[in-house]
Amino acid sequence: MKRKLVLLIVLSLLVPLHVSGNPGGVGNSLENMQCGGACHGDANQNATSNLQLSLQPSGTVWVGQPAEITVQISGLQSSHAIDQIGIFLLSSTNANGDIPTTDGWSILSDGMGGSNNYIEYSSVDSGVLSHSWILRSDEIGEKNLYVSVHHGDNSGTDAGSPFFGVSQAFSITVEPIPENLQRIDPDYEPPRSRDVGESTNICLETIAASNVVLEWREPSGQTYQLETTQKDQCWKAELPEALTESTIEWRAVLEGEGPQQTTPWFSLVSVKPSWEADETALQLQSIAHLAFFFGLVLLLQPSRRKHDEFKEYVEESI
Amino acid sequence: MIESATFHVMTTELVVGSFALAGLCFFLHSVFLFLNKESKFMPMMDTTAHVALLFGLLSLPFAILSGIESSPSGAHTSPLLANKMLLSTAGGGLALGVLYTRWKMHEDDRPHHLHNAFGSLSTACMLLTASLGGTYTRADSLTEFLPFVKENTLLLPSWLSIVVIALILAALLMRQSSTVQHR
Repeated sequence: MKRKLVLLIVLSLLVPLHVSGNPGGVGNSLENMQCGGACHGDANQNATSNLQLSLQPSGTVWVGQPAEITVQISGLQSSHAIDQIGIFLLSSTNANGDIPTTDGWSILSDGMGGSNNYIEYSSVDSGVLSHSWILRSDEIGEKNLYVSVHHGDNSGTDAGSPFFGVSQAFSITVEPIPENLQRIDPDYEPPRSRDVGESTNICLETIAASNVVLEWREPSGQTYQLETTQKDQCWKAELPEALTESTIEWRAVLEGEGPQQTTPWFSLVSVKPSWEADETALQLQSIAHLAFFFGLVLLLQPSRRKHDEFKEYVEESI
Repeated sequence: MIESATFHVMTTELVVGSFALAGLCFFLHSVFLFLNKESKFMPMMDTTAHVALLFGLLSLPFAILSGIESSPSGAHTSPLLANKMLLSTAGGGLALGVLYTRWKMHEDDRPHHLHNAFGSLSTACMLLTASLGGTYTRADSLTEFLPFVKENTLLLPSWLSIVVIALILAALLMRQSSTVQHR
């Protein structure tokens, strides 16, 4: 028996297991570079990605103002056969404390309805992939940003391995904003997502702006203009509802004493209304589960005392 | 300061490891019982199963609380998270019952198949809970063949949960009083 047990344990340890890191992805989230290297996996299993990674801001980056940072990933079909890819926007490559929010940035939009530094594409159709984040810096000066990727590969000698790649440092200069230049209030947070069938009221707070026009565009690229009405420092307009799950983009054109200012395109994702249960009912049901299964075990266990007395009675009768 | 998500991973691994060991020992104990073999392994399996179950049960509240804390919007916003919560409390209830009955057992008495089955069932609940966690964080787990636990939750209205709690307490009290009268 003992030999069989040892044999069983040894055999179970020798069974080769196919292990692959997060084949379904981990979902959009705030992640350090460490996740790309060893998120629920062994970093030693990683292969080096041959993708070319670049990053650039579109225009001048003013302090306290939204800035569009576009990353470009090329070589997707020529270097690796990729189904899905995860992209990181990082402020360092220390493997911890790498999220841009730890280096004086705010992530206003990740382009996918959230404010994450890590996003995933579930399918890749072309050889070049561009993706934009909207960031806002609260400090003046030079800052570094990095782009990093992790993905799989369906072909080649390392097929099935997790691939990881990180770019060089890209320097971004955050400049002080000229006085009286019309601008968005530094505390303004754009809406990122909404339910399908709901319109969105934009209330854009500005400084030194004499007129604001809102523009929005469909996924097809067709652009529309919306007139705004001013109330105090808030410029109001209503973005129309979406009929299906989709992403529209909007931006503001600000008139004032200085040259015309145009904000980056902000993404607004329309999603199906999320599932939600009554929180109190769920908590009560959890307690009910605990009590029910505890009671079930006690009630279904044979009663020792009755058993003993029956046994004594039988023994006495004999 | 440890983030709640990290703390949840630590406590979950404690719970899963302990319950898995307990489940294995309950199963082996039943096998020995079934073979009707007197073996020195039997008391060893019995003791190990219950000690591991106790350790897992002690870690469970930390896992549940840190899990709720690390979810950005709460367990009530996803059927998968709701099922995780319900399964873990069901497993916790079973484990508590198994430990309580074992504690109340006479010294010369031994757990039987039903007792071991409840212990193994509590392990199954915990492993399924952990597997759902894998589905939630990585969209990948060993329970891909159970799509209904990811998309649907059998939710009771609050009043029905209260009725269930009241009924089970009443049943336990009646059993207790009948035992006292019997003496």
